[in-house]
Parts: sequence; structure tokens; C-alpha cells
Amino acid sequence: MSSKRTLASFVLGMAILFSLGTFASAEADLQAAKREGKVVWYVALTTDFNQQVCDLFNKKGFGVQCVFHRDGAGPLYRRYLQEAKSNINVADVFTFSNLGYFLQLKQGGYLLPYRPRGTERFNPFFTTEDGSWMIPLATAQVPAYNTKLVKPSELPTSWTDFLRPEWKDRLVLPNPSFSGVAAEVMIVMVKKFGWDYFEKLAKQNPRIVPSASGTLTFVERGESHMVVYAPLASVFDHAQRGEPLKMFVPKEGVLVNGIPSAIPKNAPHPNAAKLFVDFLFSREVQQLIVDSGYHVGHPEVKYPPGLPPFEDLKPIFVSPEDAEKETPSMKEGFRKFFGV
Amino acid sequence: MPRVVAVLRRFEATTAVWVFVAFVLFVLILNPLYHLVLESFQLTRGQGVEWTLRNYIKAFTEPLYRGPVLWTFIVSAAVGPLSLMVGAAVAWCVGRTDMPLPGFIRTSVLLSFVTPPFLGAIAWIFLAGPREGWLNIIYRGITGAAGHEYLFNIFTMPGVVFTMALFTFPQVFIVVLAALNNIPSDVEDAASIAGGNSLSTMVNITLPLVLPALMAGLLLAVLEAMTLLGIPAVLAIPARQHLMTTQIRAIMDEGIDAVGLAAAYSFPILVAAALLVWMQRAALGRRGYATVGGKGGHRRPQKLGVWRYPVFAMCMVPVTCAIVLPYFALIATSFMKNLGHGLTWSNMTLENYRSIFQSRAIASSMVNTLLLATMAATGATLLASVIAYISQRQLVHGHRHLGLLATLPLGIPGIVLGVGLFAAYTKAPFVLYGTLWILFLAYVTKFLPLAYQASNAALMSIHPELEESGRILGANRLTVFKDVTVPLFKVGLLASWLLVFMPSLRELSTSALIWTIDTKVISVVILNLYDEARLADIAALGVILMIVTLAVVVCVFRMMGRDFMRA
Amino acid sequence: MRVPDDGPGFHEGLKGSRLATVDLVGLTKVFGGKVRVVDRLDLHIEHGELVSILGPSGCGKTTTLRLVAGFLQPDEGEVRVDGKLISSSSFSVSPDKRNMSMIFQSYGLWPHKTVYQNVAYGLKFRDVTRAEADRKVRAMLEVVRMEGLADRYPAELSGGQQQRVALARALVVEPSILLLDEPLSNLDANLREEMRFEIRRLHDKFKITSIYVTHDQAEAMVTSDRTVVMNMGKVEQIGTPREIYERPRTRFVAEFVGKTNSFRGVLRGRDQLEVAPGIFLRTAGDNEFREGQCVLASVRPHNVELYSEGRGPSATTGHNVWSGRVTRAHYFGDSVDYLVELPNWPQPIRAILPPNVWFRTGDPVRLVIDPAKCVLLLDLPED
Repeated sequence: MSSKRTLASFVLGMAILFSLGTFASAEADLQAAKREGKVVWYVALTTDFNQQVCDLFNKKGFGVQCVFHRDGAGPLYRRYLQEAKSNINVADVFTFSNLGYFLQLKQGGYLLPYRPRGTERFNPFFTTEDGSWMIPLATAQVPAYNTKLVKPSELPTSWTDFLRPEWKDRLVLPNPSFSGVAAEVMIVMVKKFGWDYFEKLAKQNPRIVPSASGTLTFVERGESHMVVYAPLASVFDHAQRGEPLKMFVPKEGVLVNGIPSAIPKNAPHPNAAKLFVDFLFSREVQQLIVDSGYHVGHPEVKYPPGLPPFEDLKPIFVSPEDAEKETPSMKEGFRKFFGV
Repeated sequence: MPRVVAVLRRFEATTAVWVFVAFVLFVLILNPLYHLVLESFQLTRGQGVEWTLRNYIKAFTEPLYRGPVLWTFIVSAAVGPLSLMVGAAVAWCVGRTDMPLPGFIRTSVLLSFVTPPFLGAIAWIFLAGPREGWLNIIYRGITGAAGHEYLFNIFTMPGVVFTMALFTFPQVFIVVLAALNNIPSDVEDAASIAGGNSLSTMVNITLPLVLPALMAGLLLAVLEAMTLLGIPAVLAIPARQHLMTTQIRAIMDEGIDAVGLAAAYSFPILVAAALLVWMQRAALGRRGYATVGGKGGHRRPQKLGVWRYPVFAMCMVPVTCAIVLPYFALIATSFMKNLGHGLTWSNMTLENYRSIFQSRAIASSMVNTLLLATMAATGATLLASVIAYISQRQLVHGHRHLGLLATLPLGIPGIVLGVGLFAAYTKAPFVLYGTLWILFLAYVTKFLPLAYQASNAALMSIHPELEESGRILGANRLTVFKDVTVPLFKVGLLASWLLVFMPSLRELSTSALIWTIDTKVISVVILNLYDEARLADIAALGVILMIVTLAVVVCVFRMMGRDFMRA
Repeated sequence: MRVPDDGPGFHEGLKGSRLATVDLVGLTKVFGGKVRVVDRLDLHIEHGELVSILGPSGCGKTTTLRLVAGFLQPDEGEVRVDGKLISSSSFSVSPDKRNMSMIFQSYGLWPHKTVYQNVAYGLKFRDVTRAEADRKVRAMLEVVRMEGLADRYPAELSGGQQQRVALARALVVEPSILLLDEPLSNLDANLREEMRFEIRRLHDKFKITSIYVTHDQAEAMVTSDRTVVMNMGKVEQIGTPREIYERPRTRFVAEFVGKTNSFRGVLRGRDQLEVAPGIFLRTAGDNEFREGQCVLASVRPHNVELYSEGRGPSATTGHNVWSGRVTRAHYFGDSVDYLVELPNWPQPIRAILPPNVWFRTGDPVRLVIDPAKCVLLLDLPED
């Protein structure tokens, strides 16, 4: 306890020193951001959450207005590239999933590297060396079930339990053609169990749904009893709202995928963008993110009840390179076994 | 020199108007198409582009892409005749018989036209999902069948066809009803007097007269079925089958070059559209369809006698499937606290509505949507009616091509059209991205074919001699257009206006690519909510959307369409 | 034959109306790049003359009318009014500036306007005060006997009444030229007959230079001062209705205008036509034809007489007299239509007789034709 306090005061002291040293430049950056007046956030998180973050940012009195453009990850990525191609500069900050996209953006020279303040203390999974992108939040892809329709005794303990006969016709799966994270889960599963796993899973006749969180409505309404993998944050959110939905972690662990943030090189408000990214990685916002059911790299946040801490997830990661390289073959393999 | 003067004098002042309209159309349609074709021949290389045929080669050799093409043609070949039959039959009952409550049927059919198809598809999951669909629960309740048995399974290809037909038959209905309203009863009476019964009168006289409208309706339904994205995404994917639109959507997520590939891949739909339009023209040929002669005409309903109520009941079948059941599902869902706790009193809440009414973003999207739909409907109707006029009265060279051009956007899947529009209106001389104008142009472009088909069918039934008698009496072309054509054309114009207004309210696949923060529309809000799996909010928004639309449509009828209301 | 008829109070209104001459010079219209729908048509129409253009459908008569109206532009030739050019291949005064009126086959009445509004429409474009326009419309409705129905809509009128409204609408603007395009084809037989006289009455009253297009020879006969018979885009013959009927110049005219028997043969002497080896038809003769020339003879069925065997004039009177047998007899009430076969003749002869004599099929008859009624025509090769 006392050692923790000592650590905290040490960190605080360091932070004060650090901020004093950079005070002049920080003040200059703030002035520049104020002149830009606006930050446009391309984000694939939920509208409610984005609104909360923007409202909080606007209340800080930086004199910078936060507006967000919410869409799916794929559409946001495509839109940005099209805009860039037409020399239209709108986006200041990206926050959407699939590291593969960010790897492509980096390779295409579209990104402005920036390491937000304080992130040097983050869990390294949430940061990059060069700051091309940073990860303000991550979520796990977990199985979840309808608590009215699945008895606790039935619960699988391993991913391979889904192949048992009692799960025939009761499962639902997201389609990797539409859901980037679904493809990432598949990369992990194929590495662990081989394609054989999906061939057998297909024989269980699961329902196939385009979007990852769309699977949840099938489970809630009882059209399916269990989703094999869905974003933990969505499960948490829906359960919080009172849906009969519960997640669990199979013994092999679950994929945790980072949802990166980056600043594009052609951002029309680069200083405001940096200010906003700093804000995203601040303790206040990181706590807000955690309260919404995501996981973060900030060492000092408190996880809400019902949300297992990061380590308990037995997290498995997919490298950006793998995500980029393997995704097409995942879509193709899925198509082969499931038809879509 | 005298020759130049002669040429100048020959150049009627009003010709300038026709040439201008033709030019507008040309730019409107060809600009995005041009950019689309350009994209389809490009691959990105670093910061530059490479010219290549590889997109086409991949689109037509990749075996995975073949199934969706085949199934798209199968599905639309099924949806077309189905919605033609239903739409034409209901239109005839409403417009031509003394069936009870024609106004109710008409309004209901129109309502199903404004319902976003993917909202309808979601509603049908609630109704006919094999395990938890309410209709199946009722079925099991009545028959005592086991829990895994079901009567309906919406996640099948027939389910997809069924749901698509529910949302395409209103187009047939509107076009055919407008045409029926233009046929004077005396034409039908002539046949009855000659000894035909009601059925043979309908088959031999009425049917041929509304043939252009029927063909137009069929064309619209088939092409709509080919380019719909929402229903296949919601129903066909769970049915384990990609259609072309979902395949395109999947391709689009694959990176920057995906756009060119998607454009190349949508080529078969474009060809099919052009082919269908050409076939429609060939079939109609040069047959005269001038039915509104100077003799005018009364319209008297067919007496159905004892069949009045059975016919009404028949009309209620599609109305029940398209409106009553889905909106029951949506309204019920809109009051649910949790989807997982079903239809119980303790699970009821007004929270969903409260959150929608409190959202400023949704309010401004609603305003944007209504504004855009009104603008687009007016713009497209004006443009389409003038084009139909030019093309039928053969006012400029190449008038035949104008009609084809105006129909072309039908064959471009909305998502692909969005790409073309994006490319076309983010560059000089038309930098409209980020403004409502790009959405306005998108809707005008996308729905121009609907307006054109309606205007054309309506105009076809106005005899040219009605205009010529005005001309010879001293009125110039524009005056005649205003004094004679437009008033006679009013029902057709209203049909055309509604045919653009209503789908504009729900347009998604194109808007999804070109909306921006300040120009968000309601369909995009719904899509975002769907992404977030907020079905109860979607249901509430869908109900609100329906009420607002209903109010607008009723106002429009009151304002300009007494004729249409009376039918 | 024109009977000037001072209509009630209207005549003075038309005093300023300028009656025009019309000249069609080498007028040609080509459709689809090759079909010469109207082929080098020449026609002069006098002040106040009513000329009908008669021909089968597709002969180019309506096209000619539309060329005059300005709805079409000629590919060659000119249209002149009072000597002034109004249409040529490179120039065309638009229809609304020609001060013409037109009656259409479908009448072209606007169903959304009342009778009064229909008639008044054209006056909007003329320099007429509102009060004056009202007076003119009411006067014109009176002329066409429609004064009580001014507030009706066209759909509420009978066919004949609609036709009268169309006439009123065309005449009220005091056009210098009136064009009529098959105006009676939509009426039933009785009404058609009545309206023929009505049109002639109105023409005699207003004396507007008129062109009347029809495929019905009776209509052309009754209404017009002169008739132009057209076929395949070309003029076959121009003349008074009497000339056209009694002295057709071509086989087409003979056969199209009224019914006829035509015989092809070789001219022997001045007036003997050898229609079959050794069989001669005595004709009126024609100095235009020479002996040995192949020509046609046209005999109207009305000019063929039939008698019971052994009665009627004999061959010595100079008439053509043959014995034959009735092969067909149709009773029409006011006449009987016979077909008579003569031995060795190449074709049966048609005869139309009053119903006071009555032969049955198979009856032997004596057939008599007055040579003066056998008109010789140029034998053109079959079309």
C-alpha cells in the first residue's frame, strides 16, 4: 500500500517536473491548437461513447471544438483514402480497429507519428516504438451466451467444446468479410487449431451474421443461444443495459485486439489533433473508456465490476503484419466452409 | 450570310431550354459514371496510379465471385414478376374497383415504400426467425409443435425474395395506378358493351393500355432487387449466400484498390440494366399509347358485387406483410427495455423514444433528410418530366439516347454509385463534398430513373394533338407545356415526385459513402445504430420516421393531389 | 354554289381577317432517310378556297398538312403564304406564328378546360381585350350552336358537340388558313354526314382558305371546291369533285374515288378497246391515245345497266350490249350491288342498280354500257 503511494507520488513529481520543462512549448502548442479551433475525429466506437468523450473535451476549455464522424472501421478507412486521393483534408484523428489498416496507412506514408504524453508508462501492447499509432483502447473477442437459455453446467471450458454435438444449431458467428475483428480471431484460431476447427464448426450449422456486435441481438432474442466470439465491450455494454447476456473466457485465452489511434499527415488541425490524442490517453478518459467495458494501457485505471482485468483474459495478440497478410485467406477459408 | 440568318431564325428560343436540360442530364449522369469507369481501370501504386485491366480480369475470373452473380439474377428474376403481379393487382383494385377503403390500402402501400428495406428485414427477423420469430411462436402455440420446429424461416433465399418483393411492389403500384387513372372508363365500357366481362375487359383492354406502366414497374422492381443492399445483408448472409451487392460491400472493405474492383464487378448489373431498358423499348416499340385523347374521359369503378370484401381481403395480404406485421414488430420493439426479455409489461419503456428526441444529431439528420428528399424529388421530377417530354416529342437530336441516359443509374448499385459521385464531386469544377448538394445530386441521379419512368408512362398517355392544338393557336412550346401538358400530367408528376421523395428518405447505400458530419441523414443514423446493435432505438426511430413521412405525404396529397387521392 | 350567309352579329368581327393564298412548291418530306412520304408536291390554293386532299392512309396527305402547319419541316421545296416563304429545308416559321388553325382527328380538346376555356385559349395570344374576347367566344359558340354548353367539360359532350367546339376554337382566332385533319373520322355515320354540311356551311360563312385532309371521298366531294388525290406521296389528279369523279386521269383515281370497273386492253380505232381476243368495248374515246396503245377503260358500276333477257336496248343503238349471268347480288336498301359474268371476259363486271328491278344469283341478264361512260385512262404498270 505504502509502496504504491510512494510510486504514485514519484510519478506525480516526475510528471510535474516534465510538464514544467515543457511548459513553454506546451503553451505554444495549446495556442496553435486554439487557432485551429477544431478537431475532427474519425471513430468507429459507439455514438454514445464518442459523444461523451467529445463533450468532456469541449468542457475542458481548450477553445477547441471536438466533432466526430462515426462509421464502421472499413468505411472510415475507405473514406479517408478516398478523401486523401482527392486532396480533401478532413480527418484529424483516427480511432478504429484493425491494425492491418494502420500498417497499410503507415506504409503508404499517410501517418504523422506522435507519442502522446504519459504513454511511456503504458503496457507496451498499447504503444508503438515510433508512435505511428498508439492504442487508447482494446477489447477482447469472447464467447457470450443467453443466461436464460444456457445452463451454467453446459458452459464450454475450451474453444474446442463448441464442436460438441449439444451446440449444433445453437451458435452464431460474425462474418469476416464484413467484420475485421472476426478475421483476426480466425487468425488466432487457425494458428492454434488449424483449419480443421472451422470445418467442424461449419458442421454445427451456426447462424452467420455480418457484424460482430450484430451477433449479440441474435443471442439476446434467443434466435441463437451462444455467440462464439463477440467484442467484450459490446457484451459488457449490453449486459449493463439488462440484457440476459454473459461472457466467459475459455482456458486457451482470447484474442485481444487493439483499437489504434493515429494522426494523419494531412490533418487540417494537427495541433488540435495532438491535444486531443493527449486527452484520449489522459487518465480521465482512459477511466471513461474502461467504464465502458474496454481495456486500456494506462496503469492507474480501475476496472468496473464485471469486467475482468486485462491479465485475466489470458490475452492472445495478432501482429499488424499478420492481420494485414492473413485477413484475405481468412475470408476465403470462411467462405469455403460457411458459404459467405 | 442569308443562310446564317436563316439558321438563326430557325433556332426557336425555347430550343435553348431543351438543349440546356439535355446538357444538365448529360453532366449529371456521365460525370460520376466517367469517374467510376476511370477507377475500374486503375490500381494505386504508391502515390500514383497504374492503368490496368486487372480489376476486370479479377472480377470475372475469381470463382468466388460467380455464385453471387448467378444468385442475384435468380433473385431479381423472382422478385420482378412477383412484385409486378402484386403491385399491378392491388393498383387495379384501388384505382378501378369499388373495393372498400381504397385510400387505406393506397396509403399503406406507399408507407411500405418509405420503410428502409433493411428495417423491414430486421422486422421480419422478429416475425419469422425460425426459433424466436413471433409467427413461429404462435404457430407452435397453436399446433403444439416442438421448440425447434417452425413454419417460416426468413433466413432462406425464398425469404429474401419475399422480403424484397414487399419493398419493390409499391413501385409497380405507383406507376400502374397513375397509368390506370389516365384511362377513361369509356374505353373499358366499349369492351363491356361488346360483350366482355370484367375479366376479359381487364385482360384485353385495360392491360394493354397500362402495358408501358407495367413494363416500367417490372423494370424498376427487377433493378431494385439487383441493387438492394440492406435486405441481402440482413437476410441473405444468414442464409449463407452472398448476392452481388453484399459481395461488393465485402470487396469494398478490402482497401483502396477495392473501389476499382467493385466498379468492375458491378459491370454485369449495369449491362443487365441497359439490356432491360432496351428490351422494354423494343417490346413497346412504336405502338401508339395515346389514350387521353381530346375526348377526355370519365372514370367509373368496376362493380365487384359480392366480391368486394374478398378482393379487399386479398389486397390486405401484401399490406399486412409489408406494413401491418413489420410495424407491429417495430412498434413493439421500440418500447422494449431489453430485447432479451421479450414482450412483457415489465420490459416496457419510453426510454428509446426519449433518447431519440433528446439527440440533437438525430434531429438535425431528420431535418437534413426531409430537406434533401423534398429538394431531390422536386429537382428530379422537373428534370425527368422535361427529359421525358424532349424524348417523346423528339425535340433535340439524339433524344432517344437521353431517355436511355436517364434510366442508366438504375443499373448502378448504390454503393458503387457513391464511389463515382465521391470521385466526381471532390474535384474541380464541382467540389461539393461536405455539402448537402452532393447528396442532392446523388439522390437526383439515383432516383431520376424512377421519376423518368413515371413521367414517361404518364406522358405517353397524353396525345400529342392536345399540344399541337395549342401550338397552332399561337402558344409556343413552353406555354403549351405549362398550360396543357403539365395540368394533364399532374397525376404523373405527383407519382414521379413521390417516387423520388419516398426512397430519398430511406436512401442508404449511396449516402453511406458521401455523408459528412454536417450532412448526416437519418438512414446513416439507423445504420450506425445497427452497427452498435441498438435494435430498440432503431425500431423507435423507424416508427418516428414513418409518422413524419406519413404526415408529409398526406400534406402533399392535400396540397396538389386531390385527383390522386380520389383515384 | 356558295351561299353567302350573314351570321348573327359575327360577320363584322371577321372583316379584318386576311384571306390568304397557299403555294406548295416541289414540297418533299423524307422519313427515315429514304421513304419519300411527300414527293415533289405542287399545289396552288386560292383565296377562300377549300381544297381537300384525298387518299388512302399512308399516302402522305396528313404529312402534307403538318408541313403546312409547321409541325414538320420539308426536306425539299417550299411552302408560301401570299407569296411569302414560311417553310423550306433551311427555314421554318414556328406553328404558333403562322396564324393558322387546325382541327385534329382526335379534336385535341383539352379535358381539363371547359368549352369556354377551350375556345378562348387562342385569343390569349392575340391582341384582343378581355371583353372583346368574351364577346367573340360567345358569338362563336352561338355560330356552332353550343352557346348553352359553355361551362361543360369536353368529357361531358357528345362526339358531334366536341367537334363543334373544336371548330369554334379553330375559327374564333380568325385564322388566315384553316387546316382540317380527318376531322370526322371519329364520328358515327349519321353524325358524319351532318357535320360535312356543317363544315361546308361554316366555310361558306367565313370563307377561310382551308385544306381538308380525308380518306373519305364523300367527305371530299361534299365539302371541297377542289380535290387533290394523292397516292404514295405524289399527286395523282387535281380537279373539282365532278372532274375527279367523272374524268379520272389514272386508274388509282378511278378506283379510289368511287367504285369502278377497269378493263385493260389495246385500243383499236379511235374508241374500240379490245379487252380479250375478239371482244371489244366501245368507249368514249380520247384524243390523247393512239391506236394500238395499251390503255384502261373505267366504267362506274352505276353506269352499268341490267335487263332481263330479251329486253332493253339492242346493240344496234351503238351501246355495248352483252348477255351474261348474275353471280352475286347484294341488297342495300337504296340499291342492289351485282356481279355479272360475261362469257370470254377476263373479269366479272360490277353493276349497281336501284332496287326496283331484282335479279337472283344465276339469272341470265342483258348487260348494257353507254360508251360515253367508258373513260379511257393511261395504263400505268401495276404498283
